Amino acid sequence: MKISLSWLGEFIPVDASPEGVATLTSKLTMLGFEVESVERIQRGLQGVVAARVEALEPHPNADRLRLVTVDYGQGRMTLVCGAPNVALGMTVPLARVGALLPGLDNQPLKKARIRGVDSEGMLCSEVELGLSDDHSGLKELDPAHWQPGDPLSRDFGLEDVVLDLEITQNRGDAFSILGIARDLAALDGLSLSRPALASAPAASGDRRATVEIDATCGGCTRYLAQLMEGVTVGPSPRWLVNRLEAVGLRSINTVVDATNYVMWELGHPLHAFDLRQVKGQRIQVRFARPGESFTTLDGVERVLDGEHTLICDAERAVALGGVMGGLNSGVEADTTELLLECAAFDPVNIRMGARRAGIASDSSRRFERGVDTEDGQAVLERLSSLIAHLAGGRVAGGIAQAHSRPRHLEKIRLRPARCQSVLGLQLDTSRMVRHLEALGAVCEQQGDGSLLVAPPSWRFDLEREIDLIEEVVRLEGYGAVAEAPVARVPLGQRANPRRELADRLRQAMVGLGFRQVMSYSMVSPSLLERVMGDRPALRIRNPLAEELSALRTSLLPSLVECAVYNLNRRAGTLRLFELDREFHPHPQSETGCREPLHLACVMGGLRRPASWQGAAEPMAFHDLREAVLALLKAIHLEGARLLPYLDSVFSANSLAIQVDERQLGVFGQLDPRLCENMGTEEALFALDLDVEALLQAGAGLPRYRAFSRQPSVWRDVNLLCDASSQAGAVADTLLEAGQPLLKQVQLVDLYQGQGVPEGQVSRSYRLWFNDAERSLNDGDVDPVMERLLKEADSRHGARLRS
Amino acid sequence: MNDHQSLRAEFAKALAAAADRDALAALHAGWLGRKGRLQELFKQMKELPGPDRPAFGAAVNVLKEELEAAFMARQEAVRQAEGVRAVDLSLPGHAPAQGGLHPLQQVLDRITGIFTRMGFAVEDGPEVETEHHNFDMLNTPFWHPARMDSDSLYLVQGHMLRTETSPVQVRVMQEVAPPLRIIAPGRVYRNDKPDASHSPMFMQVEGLYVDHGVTFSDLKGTLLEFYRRMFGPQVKIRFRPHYFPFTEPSAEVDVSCIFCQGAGCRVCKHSGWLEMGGSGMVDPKVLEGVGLDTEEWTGFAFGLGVERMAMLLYGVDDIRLFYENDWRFLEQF
Repeated sequence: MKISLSWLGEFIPVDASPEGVATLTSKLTMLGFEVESVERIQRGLQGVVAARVEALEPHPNADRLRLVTVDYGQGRMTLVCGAPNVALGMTVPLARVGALLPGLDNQPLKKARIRGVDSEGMLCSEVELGLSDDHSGLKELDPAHWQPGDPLSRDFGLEDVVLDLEITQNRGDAFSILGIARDLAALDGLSLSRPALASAPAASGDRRATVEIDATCGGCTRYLAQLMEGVTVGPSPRWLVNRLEAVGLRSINTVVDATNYVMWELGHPLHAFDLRQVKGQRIQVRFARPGESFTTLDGVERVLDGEHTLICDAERAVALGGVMGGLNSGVEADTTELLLECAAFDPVNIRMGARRAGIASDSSRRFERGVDTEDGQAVLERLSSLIAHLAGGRVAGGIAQAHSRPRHLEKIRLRPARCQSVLGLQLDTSRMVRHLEALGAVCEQQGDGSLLVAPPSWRFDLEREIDLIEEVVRLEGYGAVAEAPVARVPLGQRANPRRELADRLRQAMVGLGFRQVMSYSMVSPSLLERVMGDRPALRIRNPLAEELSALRTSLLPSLVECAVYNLNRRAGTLRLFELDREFHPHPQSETGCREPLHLACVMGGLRRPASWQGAAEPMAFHDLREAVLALLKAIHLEGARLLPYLDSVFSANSLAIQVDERQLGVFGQLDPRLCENMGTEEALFALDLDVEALLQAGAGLPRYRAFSRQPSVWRDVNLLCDASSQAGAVADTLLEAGQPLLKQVQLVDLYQGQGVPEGQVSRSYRLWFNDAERSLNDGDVDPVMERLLKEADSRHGARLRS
Repeated sequence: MNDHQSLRAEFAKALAAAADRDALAALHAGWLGRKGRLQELFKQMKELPGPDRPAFGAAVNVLKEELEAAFMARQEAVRQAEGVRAVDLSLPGHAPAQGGLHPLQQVLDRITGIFTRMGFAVEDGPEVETEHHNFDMLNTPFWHPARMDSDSLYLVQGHMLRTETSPVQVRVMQEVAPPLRIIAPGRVYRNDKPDASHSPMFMQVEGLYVDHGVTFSDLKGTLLEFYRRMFGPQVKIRFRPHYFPFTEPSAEVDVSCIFCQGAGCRVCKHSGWLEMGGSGMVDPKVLEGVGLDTEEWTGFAFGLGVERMAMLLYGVDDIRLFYENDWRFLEQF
């Protein structure tokens, strides 16, 4: 909400200098009204100052002109003036050379020579000042208010500072100049002044509207109406237009502007009907009929439901209650009689109604946060006097009113000890009383030391003891509460093993050269389908965009997309991982969703880039295999088995990781068709690991095993094997047959081609032998070699190649 | 004046005599090392009258470069004579595979680490939440604007993506009796179009402490300690009144600008303060909702934005970069 400081200055003293504004801004901020912007407005009249007429002489060459000497604060000057009303001692506006005058199109004023006498300036009427068309004489300034030298832009709303404040949802009462002034006055212990005009004259009779609220209409709690007659609608004066524009409102005409002005000033939305259009001079408030349509002031036809409040006359609806007037009953240029509405509406009803109708107005924004229910008379008084001031006319009679249910303001008990213990702040009860009363509450001291507090009618957020405690500390200042230096720590809180495992997995992945990515949980359904098939996924009912409308059931789709994105932007090595949640529909659970934690990784591109040491080497399945084995080792997972695996995402070059018949994850080469579909020709290798399953499989602490300090010996064997056998299976056989001395089998060469029979493959294994007690010699190793070669032959038909 | 001819000659003689690595090392130490003769020369410069110093210094520098070049040449000759294969030391090798944590993870780990050391346990809760937990239990009435379709992302049947990590407060209080002191880091979701400062998904760290006699003063002390450990001991904090449905009194927490120390700069928009997150005393309605006696227990809660902190710490000016996962971004952290 925008507030103008000149306006605020009508309620409390305001210093609009840069330092003053900075102080004000910080006070508002610390009261809970964040200042979002500060704007200085300068609308012209630069170079125009107040001046006092010191001497008058006749013009030597002209009868109707005079030479006037004025004191303008910084000096004196003599100039030529033709105004009839110029008089000694009078205070008048002086435009000096270079001044900008709205009445002269804001062109810098030039030096003039009139009938042979130079003038370094000009005394102004309201015409030059742009205030009116009155050129009968000089604008006379009140000498009590104007000292010579005062800039005229100070007044007339020409120079102003506008602050844009954030008003939080709970502070409907602060949605006005008055509301802000009230909090500032309470903070500084100032009393509020109230701007006042002469009351509107009253007509001789007592014409009143008939007002009624339907018993079944819960939307409107109070309705006050007053009639005015003899009004002349016209354009608003400059000062009013300036004020409205400063706070972001548009000037319409004197009457509409007056209602908006009073709303902005006092926070109570108002409406003026053209009385001609209020049939029977009768107001009836009721709920709309479901499907009933109504055209609001902005020309939009709105279809209403049974909980929209309608203001009706004897025949038809004339306003959408609390939101906007009707197109059929607004004030026109020829309107002379008015029905002024000052009503109170149920905040929730207005909020939901405006939302359902897709309309928000300055009026609904105020009513939905709560508008004072008890200020009707004062507000109508302010409105009628302002209209009379601007547009003439008189009140036709007293105020007609109707209530549905009175608002019951419960008194609240505040225990000073409780206030202190919640805040951790020593504060005298008298200080609490001071703050609450400054805000308009009434406090009664009780025998038990507590306070019984009656909140003011304009506050809708004061219902409980804690609400009062907040007000006390808000006015005392949050800064008054010290930062407690010692924190007590509760013992025996529960551990979070899932998080600990996740941390270790992330560390291990980083150690293996993978870079972590983070992607949205929301993905495009088509992406999900391309990768995951038609596995069901949760959908967002109101997504930002179709591409963000499904919750991912796997980390792979976005991870693969991310890999392709990066490969397409930079040839090189790519090793990415993500560790986060999958979302699976799970109707049985409270949230309708299961959110298992997964670790996924993708690798692709080059294992080694081209260099002077050799050509580039592409990433291969075996690189992923080693990374996965190293990962499982890093989290000390025991007993994992790797089994063949194949699905629509993972090609046949894939393995599943199993522990005790339970599948923990899958890794391998992604289906080439899928990769192509995702936009890359390159082979991609991926892992998808279920962290929950990992946790249950007992990934845990390492167990130390004593290692041998004796030297190892090795032998190489070169075996001719059937090409269909697996290198790993042969190695396993060797290892098993070589127990207990054989410790490790290392594949050091693979060869097919010349010298090797068709359908066979030559594999060189290096066998490492060790004994923990002593160093080994040929006599120890030879029998083992014999045994394991025999076993390799009998199980795999693998023979020594000569 | 002094062209150091005798020094040159002496060095050349010593260099020619140095026939192996050890001799070369000794020669280097004696002439070119930290306590070598050239350093002695530089020291003499200080005793000269001011105007003579530049010329003297320049001459010594020329000498130094000359001797170093001669030394390198001799060293190469000795190395070759000793049979060490010469290697072009400028040749590139294979870079080791370099992994790394996502910048948000690094910030998150740091935040979590600080709070863990301050005695906070770490808790998790679901990201798909019930409206009941995300709003009702947090004293956010059905009409509150945060509940509108334009603000929150909904699934079906009263389910939604959580808009805060705050529902974790409720879940933990339902499961564990106080005293408790937890943080709950995690992803939260809003119906915000992505732009430089908005993301439909971002990360928050929720904090909650419920115990006998927890005060607003404890809240201020705890957050001051956290921000000092995060940004340094010079940091000041400011609590500003604000409104959140689930805390009262509520406060926005500002930290004195970590770039200008509060003097005012571009980052803090010349206010001297950086807005860090919301906090307050847990609203009695929230405690009552989980069956706690508000006369016996009080508590404080706070929320921190992880992206906000990462953007400040790393100078990242667009929040979308965090979720774009461009290699050229990630490899900088």
